[in-house]
Amino acid sequence: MNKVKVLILVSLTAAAAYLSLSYPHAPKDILLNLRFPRVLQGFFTGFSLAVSGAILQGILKNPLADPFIMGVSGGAMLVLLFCKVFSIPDAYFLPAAGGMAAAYFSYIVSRKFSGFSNAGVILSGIAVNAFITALITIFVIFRKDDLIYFFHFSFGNISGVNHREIIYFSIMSCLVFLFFFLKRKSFLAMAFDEVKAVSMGLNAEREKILFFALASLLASFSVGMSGLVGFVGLVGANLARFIFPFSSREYILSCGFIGALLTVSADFAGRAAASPIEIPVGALTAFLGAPFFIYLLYREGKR
Amino acid sequence: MKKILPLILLVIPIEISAGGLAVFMPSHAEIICELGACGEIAAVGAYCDWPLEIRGKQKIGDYFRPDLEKIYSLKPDIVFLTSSANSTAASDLRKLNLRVEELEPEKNLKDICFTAMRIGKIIGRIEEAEIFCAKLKKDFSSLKPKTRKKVFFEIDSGLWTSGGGSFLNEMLKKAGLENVFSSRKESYFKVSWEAVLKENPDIIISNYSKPEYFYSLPMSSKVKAAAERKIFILDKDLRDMLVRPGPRSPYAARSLMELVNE
Repeated sequence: MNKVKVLILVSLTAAAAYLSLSYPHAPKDILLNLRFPRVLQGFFTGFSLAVSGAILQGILKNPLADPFIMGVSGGAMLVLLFCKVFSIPDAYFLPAAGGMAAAYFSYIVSRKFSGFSNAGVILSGIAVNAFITALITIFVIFRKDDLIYFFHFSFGNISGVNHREIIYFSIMSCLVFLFFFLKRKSFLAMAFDEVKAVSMGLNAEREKILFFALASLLASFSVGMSGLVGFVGLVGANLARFIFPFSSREYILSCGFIGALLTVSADFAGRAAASPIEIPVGALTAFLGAPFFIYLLYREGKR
Repeated sequence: MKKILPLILLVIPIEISAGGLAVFMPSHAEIICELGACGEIAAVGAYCDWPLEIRGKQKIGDYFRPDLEKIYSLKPDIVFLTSSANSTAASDLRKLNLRVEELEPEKNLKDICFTAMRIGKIIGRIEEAEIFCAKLKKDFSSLKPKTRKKVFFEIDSGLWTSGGGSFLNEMLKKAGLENVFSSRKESYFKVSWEAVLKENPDIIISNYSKPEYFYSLPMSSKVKAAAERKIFILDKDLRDMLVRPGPRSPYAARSLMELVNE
């Protein structure tokens, strides 16, 4: 049964990708050079964000955990902005460093003041995010001419034109995801029963930090590629829990595909709805995701 | 007490009128100076930088974030603003009992004259405004572009552009350029590179992105503008002049025409 569900999910994503590629009709070179990279960018942006959200929700045992809410995405964004201000070119690894730094900072704060409790990490993450958002706003106000692009980037930008970045970040996301997939057993142990995990010989805090870092990396890659696309991490991970039990092998993979499906569809809708005007993808992921999310809460409440 | 209060109320207004004009919009400052009233301007908005003599004037913040305290302390006779739902500046300033004159934003070239006439009426320089209008009309009509070329104009990096309902669109027309997205009435939106490729403009003009950026985009060789090396970045002067509906507008249109036909 689970296999059928995965198959349905994958084919839905494929259908969204196909639609995005083929509508409106365009010559082959446009498909190859613009639409295909764009679908790829949307796919990996959503996939990484949703998996990142799933990892954070798992280890922190809180359905609210999300790279966007916890300042990881903001940290990556801030570093991109610094690169622009000090004209540091093509710094692909730097956004990841920014996202990791933000995550590390919330970790230090929560460890110092709340004993690395799960709620403590999320709360300090929210504080870090608020601080970073404020910094970005201040920057944009004083350097409007240089940074207006970043203002727009903060609603997400999937354009398919930066081929090198798309290739780099897609490969990096794949590698990190593979590494995580190899470690999934200890992830599930950590997410389910920390006490049992420790009795199995796992160092709980070290494992947590490792997964925290992987989640930050995935989120940062998506930011480096496409800016801030909100809500995907939250929706992807929560939606997957309705389809698959958390403990199943398919859970993580389905999170990724739900995120990819949401992002690719949102990007398609943003491109096609008011063509040639583009609606930023971040606005549409929230627009499409939020009502669905509320419906899920309603159903959960009924149970 | 009943006798003192009216007395106080009588005395205060006499004390506070330091006078002068406060002008937020660069285009209004340019028009006021063109009407010969530069000397009456007491304070200007952050972006006002032309003509040179207004650069030394008091700065009162910008239109979105006006320095209310400073404006109040300067007690200008009239504050000039553009009317817009985007800013609460006008209503805030009225609450401070200042005389605020809101002028409609210009949608086309004729509106420059309309604004100038309104300013002329308010500051008592109608004749000057009429002379200015006549000159503006003459300057614009002397612009006779020989060709009509399709242009993609990038306002902000990330392929943000403007549609047909904008002042910029009219300026482009005067310079012999047809905005490829003029069928949309929105004045500020983002398009995809694919959409630009489809429109295949003869010329690409950007406010911020260097030509190299456009040449590096996928399939750029398929765009006529790239194939013919007709991609331009504007310097700050021309960029400002193009979007300020004022006395320099005909000159801006001419400069643009010369730039793309060089």
